[in-house]
Amino acid sequence: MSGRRRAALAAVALTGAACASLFTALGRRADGIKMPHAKHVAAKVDCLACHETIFDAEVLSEADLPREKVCLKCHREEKEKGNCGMCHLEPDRPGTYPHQERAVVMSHAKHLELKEVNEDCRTCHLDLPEPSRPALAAKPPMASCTNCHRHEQEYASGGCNACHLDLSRYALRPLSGFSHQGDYLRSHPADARARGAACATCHEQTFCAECHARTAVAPVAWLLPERVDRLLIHRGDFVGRHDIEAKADSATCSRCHGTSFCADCHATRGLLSLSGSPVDPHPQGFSDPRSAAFHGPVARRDIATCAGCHDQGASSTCVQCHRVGGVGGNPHPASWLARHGVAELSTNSMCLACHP
Amino acid sequence: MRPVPGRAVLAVAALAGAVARPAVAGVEVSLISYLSARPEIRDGRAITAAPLLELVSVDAWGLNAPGLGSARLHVSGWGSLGLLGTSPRGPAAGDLDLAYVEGRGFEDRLRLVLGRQLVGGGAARFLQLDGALAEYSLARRLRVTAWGGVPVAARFNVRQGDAAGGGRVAWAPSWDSEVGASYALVLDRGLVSRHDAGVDGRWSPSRSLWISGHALYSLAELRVVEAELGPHWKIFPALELALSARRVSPDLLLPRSSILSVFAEPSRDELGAVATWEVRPEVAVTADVRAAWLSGVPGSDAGALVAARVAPGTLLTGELRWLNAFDQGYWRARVGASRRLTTNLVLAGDADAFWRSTAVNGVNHSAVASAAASWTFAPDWLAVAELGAGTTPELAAEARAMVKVAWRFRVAASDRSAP
Repeated sequence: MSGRRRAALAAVALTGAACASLFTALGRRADGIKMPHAKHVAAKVDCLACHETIFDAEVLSEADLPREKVCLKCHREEKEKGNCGMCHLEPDRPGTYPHQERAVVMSHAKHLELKEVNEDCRTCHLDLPEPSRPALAAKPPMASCTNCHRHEQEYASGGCNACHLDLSRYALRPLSGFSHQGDYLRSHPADARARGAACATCHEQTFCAECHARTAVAPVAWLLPERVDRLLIHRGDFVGRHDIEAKADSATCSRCHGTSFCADCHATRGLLSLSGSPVDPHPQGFSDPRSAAFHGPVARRDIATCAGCHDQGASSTCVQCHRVGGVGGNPHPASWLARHGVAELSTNSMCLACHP
Repeated sequence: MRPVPGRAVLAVAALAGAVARPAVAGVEVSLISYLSARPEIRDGRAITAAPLLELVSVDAWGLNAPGLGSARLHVSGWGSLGLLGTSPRGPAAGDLDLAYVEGRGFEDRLRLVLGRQLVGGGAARFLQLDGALAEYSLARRLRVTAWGGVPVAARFNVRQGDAAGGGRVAWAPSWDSEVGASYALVLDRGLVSRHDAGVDGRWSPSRSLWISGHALYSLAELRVVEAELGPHWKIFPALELALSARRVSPDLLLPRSSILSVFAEPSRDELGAVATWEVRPEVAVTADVRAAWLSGVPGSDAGALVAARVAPGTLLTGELRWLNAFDQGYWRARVGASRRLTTNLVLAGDADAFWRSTAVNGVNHSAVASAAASWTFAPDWLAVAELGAGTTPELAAEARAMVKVAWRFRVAASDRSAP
């Protein structure tokens, strides 16, 4: 078995192990802590008695939830009796609080200092977790935040990520400042280059990878036939017009396809023959210096298209004629020597292809 | 089987290590299976190819990663098996698209991404690499990003280089405005493949006007790789106008290590305008026009698209496009429609035709059409069936079929309630 085959199998095995580990973690019913806040409030237990560290907490963290020793200050007797079920959802496998994603930026320390809050947790925590309700439902609603933080400017401009760490799993619509109307397929790179953080508010890089990953398996247009509303580059018979599209803007093609993509596909299709093939990409007279269709000016203008098929390094067709002493003559553009001195011949191994 | 590079194994091993302490807030798994049959040309002959394709994506968030607070793991990849008309590259293939762990630390000032990822922003030009990215907020509005790794080989095994590194410094005075300076260096077999410095910016003086632009300069060739500048103006709530001026040097998008990089210094200039008008809330028209010059030779491009929601759940689209690519071109027309028949069933159809100025195989036109039915047959499950047919310069008559089944499964620990 080759090294690469072994590496591939190892990768598959490790990925499987990682997935299995995750599923195991989720499949097992995790423990949680039953905490009847209402009873504690009725007993006039101050919030500070259990949540002491929250007064210094700059970020949301499970570490600031009361530890067992805090509970045992009052409930040690129950633990000594073995009444684990009093607090633990899974007394047979006691654990701690279920892990939750930290979704917002929020400093308890700064909020509790405010005179509007005056160390009163109920300013924001209108409802407190009870054993009968999931913890999520008892988190302060966003209205608690917007009671004080009006955020009109942030709403208007879509500046959600000042508070929200990740909105990419919410179904949101593009805002006016980042309107996706019209030909956004063509204009989105400018936004992505200069303000990628704004894109990341809604789109994870997995979204970008659908089109931009060089490892992507197939054009998106093939994979989404049901989305006739989407403007997709390779829709319809793209193969039948790809040569024109490539000529119009070869730079756009080479961003994803790189060199030799064309040669590989043409080789698979048996379209590399220059001997009168009806789909020969070169026009009549391409090799004839007297012809108007001679390849020299075309290559000067559109070398990226040439590279699609002819980029085989020192063994490329071009080198055979254009090397020093070859019939093709000096291929360098006029300003070449201004940037590439003769000394480069000894330091750049690529030069040796033509300058042995 | 397509080889998976050894470094990918290391990346996956790192990911597996990250989940060794599997405290997870939630996991989303997506599996999409495709079985299709379509004609392909092999060695000059038409054959029927029937690949089975599987896309897998696993996303876990809220991972309890030491030192990084709440981290996130994402793995996505694909595998394919040729049931008919096996590709010359072999019957089976597969690759990892993304495989990274992302975490935040130092009170959210630091964002760290490890593994196979896409690096965007400035000179990075959406480079896919196996490596690391670190982003640190020096102050509320000032951010520094550094990245490095090994560029991922593209499909068909096109090398992208042996090593890459770069970074970006950005200052964002507001949420929708930012200015940045960036740098990227890619090496291939010890030679410089790409060595660029860039500046980029987006400025939004009002909610209805924003201007974005970027410029990338090749430090290897001392020429502009590409530069673009354009305003985007929402003249009325229903009317948007975008203008752009762009210059690109296509040859500088070739690796500098390519032997063909010594042959030419072409430049392509483009001026363009796009207008979008919401004639009525349910009807939008987009028209665009561009003039381009490839080393002085003129070309042009224009098109119009109409999208109309003619009834609840019914969308009609029509598109007309003309492209003059310097010495050849085409006219293209396309119509599409989708209709939601029930809550779970959507039908869609698409017809696309073009007429070339130059013939291929003696044919200068192409017409293809397809119909698709999309059925959400259970919660989190989707099935799509597509049939298509047409006539193209390659094939006088072609037909294709595809069935897709997608399943998305999500579990979030915080969804659980106490008994």
